[in-house]
Amino acid sequence: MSRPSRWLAGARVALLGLLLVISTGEAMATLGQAPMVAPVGASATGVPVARQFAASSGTQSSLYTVHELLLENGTSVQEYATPAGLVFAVSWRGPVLPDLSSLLGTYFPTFKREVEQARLQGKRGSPVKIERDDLVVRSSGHMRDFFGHAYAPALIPPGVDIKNVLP
Amino acid sequence: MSFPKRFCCVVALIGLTALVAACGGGGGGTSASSDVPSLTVLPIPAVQGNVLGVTVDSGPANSGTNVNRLYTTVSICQPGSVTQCQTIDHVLVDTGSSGLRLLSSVMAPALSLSRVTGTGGLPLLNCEQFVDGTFAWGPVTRADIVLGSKTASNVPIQVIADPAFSSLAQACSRSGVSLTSITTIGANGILGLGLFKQDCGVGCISNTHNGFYYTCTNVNCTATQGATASIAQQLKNPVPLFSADNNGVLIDLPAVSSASASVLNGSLIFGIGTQSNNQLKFATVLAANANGYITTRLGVQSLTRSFIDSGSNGLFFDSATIQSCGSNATGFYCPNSTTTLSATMVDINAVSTSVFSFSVENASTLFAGGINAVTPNLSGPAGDSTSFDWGLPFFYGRRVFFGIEGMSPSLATDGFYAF
Repeated sequence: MSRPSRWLAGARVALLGLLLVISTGEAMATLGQAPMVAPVGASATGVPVARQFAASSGTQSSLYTVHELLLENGTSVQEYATPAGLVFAVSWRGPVLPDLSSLLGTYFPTFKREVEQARLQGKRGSPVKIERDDLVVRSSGHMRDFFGHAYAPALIPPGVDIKNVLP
Repeated sequence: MSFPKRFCCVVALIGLTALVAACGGGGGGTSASSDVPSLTVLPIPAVQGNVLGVTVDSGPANSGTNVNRLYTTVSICQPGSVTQCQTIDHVLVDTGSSGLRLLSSVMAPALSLSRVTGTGGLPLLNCEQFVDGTFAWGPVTRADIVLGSKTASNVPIQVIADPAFSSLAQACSRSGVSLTSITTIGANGILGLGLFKQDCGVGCISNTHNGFYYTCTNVNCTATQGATASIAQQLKNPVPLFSADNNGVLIDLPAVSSASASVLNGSLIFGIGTQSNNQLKFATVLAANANGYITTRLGVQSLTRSFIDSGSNGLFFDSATIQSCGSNATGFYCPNSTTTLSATMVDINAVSTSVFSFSVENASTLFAGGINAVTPNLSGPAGDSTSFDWGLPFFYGRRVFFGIEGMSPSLATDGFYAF
């Protein structure tokens, strides 16, 4: 399972603050809200860091920050926040899906509705692609390895190209 | 969401014939209470040997819209018994997962399968997430799984949406939409025959926060917490447990000549290279990585997280040029005219390749005259620029082999695909 480091290294993310914490999954970023992760230097959970990613070196940016959580189930979650502290995008990769209800917050009912609608129309057992004015979600993979991202187009800071932000 | 139902069902078992006192509801299934399934003697297989019949059709009654869904019939028995059994049709054949999962509402209460318990001696609960944003939740029980002439004995299986535990689905439900009924699953259960031997594997042996397994926090089972599950306790692909023909499966479906059809019959053949009917012959073996991925080259794209999945009902990949359908065929492609593309599958060692072409038809047009269960050229966006999900249309007219991890070391370290 050497994939995460390669995956991160290839990400074209601009890193202002990359924070590694381990979490039980109780505390996660929520789209449209302030990051759940404490600023650099603070201990978010008091739980010792048990695993480390190889951090990528990216161009410094004043446009947004990236916070990273490594959940105890092995799944990593990234939250992308404006300087004002609003999470405009999240992404994930790991053996199980993260708590999308927490991660998507008020957008979760929309996600569920779209998933149900796609099933009703015959799309079954396939990746999720939701493309709405208020919410974009991609979710792919299979048993033991899931990856995806979500963002709220309206919250993307001016000057940021979302394609260059997400892994 | 989950059903806030409590314990139900009083079961009376008299002799070999089960008399069942029906109770309301079940897991949200659509069958009437008078249809509570009963036990039977294990049937004599229609075909002897290593072959199990499979069918692509519109699914069980009241199961919603089912296109390109591969079903088979599974028998389960109380461990060691050939008389206390139940045969369940329309179980989805899914090479994207591992383990047998059956809806509580279609299972005979009289089976009264013994529950697997977690480390604290309380029921072990399984959470299985699927890529389409759905999940299955329920307790783990033990049963003999009988697939045609083959038996996997005393295997942990999941009882999906068991009403006794549905109110506890919260931990699992936070990832998406709950599969609780025939309508939501589009099947009576899911038979996972993927490359992995277990659903979770070593990741669940010592980590209690693994996301796959949970247990009750108290004897009344009013709440759950994450739980470890040993390899023995985990849900399993039943094939490696067979006494022979146990290193993989071959799914053999005929070609579909027309744009669509209502039924397609084929074979699920156990073993690879073990009998005259499952020889690889000229099939190219594509070794997968530990995550079950191979690479698909499509135009200039190199899609390194590609896989072949009978549980996906279309070919899913991202295209910059093919337009997506509107609301009448959400999630599929609707090109102006049928588009034929060439793809190359490459194994993880980049030594073995297979080149072939496939077509993308307008899904809206395909669905226009009424949806047919067998729709070969159905495709849609993957929503991901690194993967190609080769769903059931890929199987039509092919013999597709799935080599289970660790079972054919001379061919691949991890699992492999071959066709």
